[in-house]
Amino acid sequence: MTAVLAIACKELRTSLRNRWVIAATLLLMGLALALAWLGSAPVGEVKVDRLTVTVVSLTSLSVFLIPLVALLISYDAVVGEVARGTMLLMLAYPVERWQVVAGKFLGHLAVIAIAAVVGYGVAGGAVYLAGAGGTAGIPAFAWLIASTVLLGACFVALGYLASTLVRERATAAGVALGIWLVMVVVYDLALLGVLVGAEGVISQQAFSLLLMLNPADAFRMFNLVGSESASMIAGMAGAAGGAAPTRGVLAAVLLAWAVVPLGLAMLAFRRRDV
Amino acid sequence: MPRDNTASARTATSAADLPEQAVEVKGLNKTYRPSGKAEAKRALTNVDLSIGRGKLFGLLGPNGAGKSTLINIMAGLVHKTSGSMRLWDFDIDRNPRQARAAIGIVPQELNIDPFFTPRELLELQAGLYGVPPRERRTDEILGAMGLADKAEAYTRSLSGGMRRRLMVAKAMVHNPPILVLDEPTAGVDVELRRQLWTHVRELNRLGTTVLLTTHYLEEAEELCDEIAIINHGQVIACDTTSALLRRLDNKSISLSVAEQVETAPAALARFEPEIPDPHRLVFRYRASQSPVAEILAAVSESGLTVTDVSTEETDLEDIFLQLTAAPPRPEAAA
Repeated sequence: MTAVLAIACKELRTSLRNRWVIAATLLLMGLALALAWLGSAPVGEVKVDRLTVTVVSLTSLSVFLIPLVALLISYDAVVGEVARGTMLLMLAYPVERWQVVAGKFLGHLAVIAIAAVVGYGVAGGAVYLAGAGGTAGIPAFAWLIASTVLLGACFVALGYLASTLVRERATAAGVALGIWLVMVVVYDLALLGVLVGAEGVISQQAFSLLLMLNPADAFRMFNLVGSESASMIAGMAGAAGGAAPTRGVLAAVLLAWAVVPLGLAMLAFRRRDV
Repeated sequence: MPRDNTASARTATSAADLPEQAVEVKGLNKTYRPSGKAEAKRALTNVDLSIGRGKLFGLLGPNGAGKSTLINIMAGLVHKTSGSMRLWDFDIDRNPRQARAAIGIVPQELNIDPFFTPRELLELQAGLYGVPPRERRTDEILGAMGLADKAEAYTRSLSGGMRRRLMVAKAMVHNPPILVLDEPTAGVDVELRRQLWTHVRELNRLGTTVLLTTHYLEEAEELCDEIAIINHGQVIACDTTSALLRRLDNKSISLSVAEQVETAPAALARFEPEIPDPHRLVFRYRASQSPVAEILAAVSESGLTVTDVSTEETDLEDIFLQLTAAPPRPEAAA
């Protein structure tokens, strides 16, 4: 465990130094604050507190941004170090290859956790302090931050898998962008297309299941469907309808999307020449 | 978990049943596969080497002789083609991590992350070797290497000599029983070289087995108990330093005389002196026969007045040149 922690600390320090941490945190904080102010303006009609409205806005933001940030910091993790030759040095230490991947994963996850907790936390705190003081949204907000970190874990793991499987850094970058495009943009569009084109063919259950299979959608449902007041104002709530899976199931799906690619990345790295 | 492995390597140092040989290499071969236009290259041929526990062992050889390949195999950076290697009784194939934990390597290049402080670098290194925080000796090592007051400085602000010592400090964090120094004094000034030698001797005195590669024959002669000379991937000589020096059994004594001498006086003729100038006689002899007393007696017998005496001894450089000038043995060329 000591070696894993040492690698994680080094990765975090490197991210602090090359400004990834501060950039990601400021980006999330800036956008979250902007959304919080704009999004929580017309509140009178829906009778939910401002924090809940902010959760809904931030969910949409996270779905796009967090996978992008996670893939950007992770795609280079293995292939980049192999290209620079530093991986060879790292492996000259008495560390196992899976420990290298695990350590890097923890370090990169910490970057996302810091960005999510600080960035969203500041926005949430500002809304809470500026607003009429409703506390109903606090649990939903806490779940948002936790699930954001989990979403980050999924895409960091996917980025590693890409990074261990390809030979060139440029290929890894391309694959990472492809993953983002497919999972975050194309998947939903395709699903909508199928839903419209083949009306009635896909049952409510099947649709819900298909949504769940994508970590981005699982994250969205986790935050929008899980909280009653949030689902009330979120358009998505209607989409999955009564067949919405529980938060536990959705969290398990997200966890699986983090654990399985990470395990595969470890396996792939074990066989890889450096 | 690495902790168990390093722990076992560490406890081995305090246990009674320490391995006799710190490093044992048998029939080691390495052929680099052809890549691109480069042809396959045979870097090591049937290398046998054993380094006893507690020795200060020197590995000498010209550039491209295979020294770095040997060290890289120890470090696990290069896979050997065949043969076996045991480090502190751990086979590098069967117990790769224990073997790596048993050695500390001070690389030739100064590759230090410039944004870390010496303390942070040592802590990181200790972490990678699985040394738990309570067992780390960061301050002790920094002190021993004369870097205590630089513990919090950016490493990019350190002088070249300090960086060298920091590299040695890094290699020591997991308290390895074997320390490998790859040309530690290349490009280092005389004073710092002396300092490093002192540190290395001290480490060796405290029980660390040291393997040193070097270009400086003087360094090997001064520091090492045993020396192996490697050339064209083969070990061409491996012996104690003194035995190696004895191999070239040639010495010479040069006498300056007051008188003008054109030909050797009769009393001296049997020693076949060379007469480079009329006031100088040079006698070459085999040290093992120690004829110096006879020569001096013969000189005084022939009535010459000796004004000055100097002797010349073979040093490692002569042996080195003599050995490495030889072409590779046929099996290396195969």
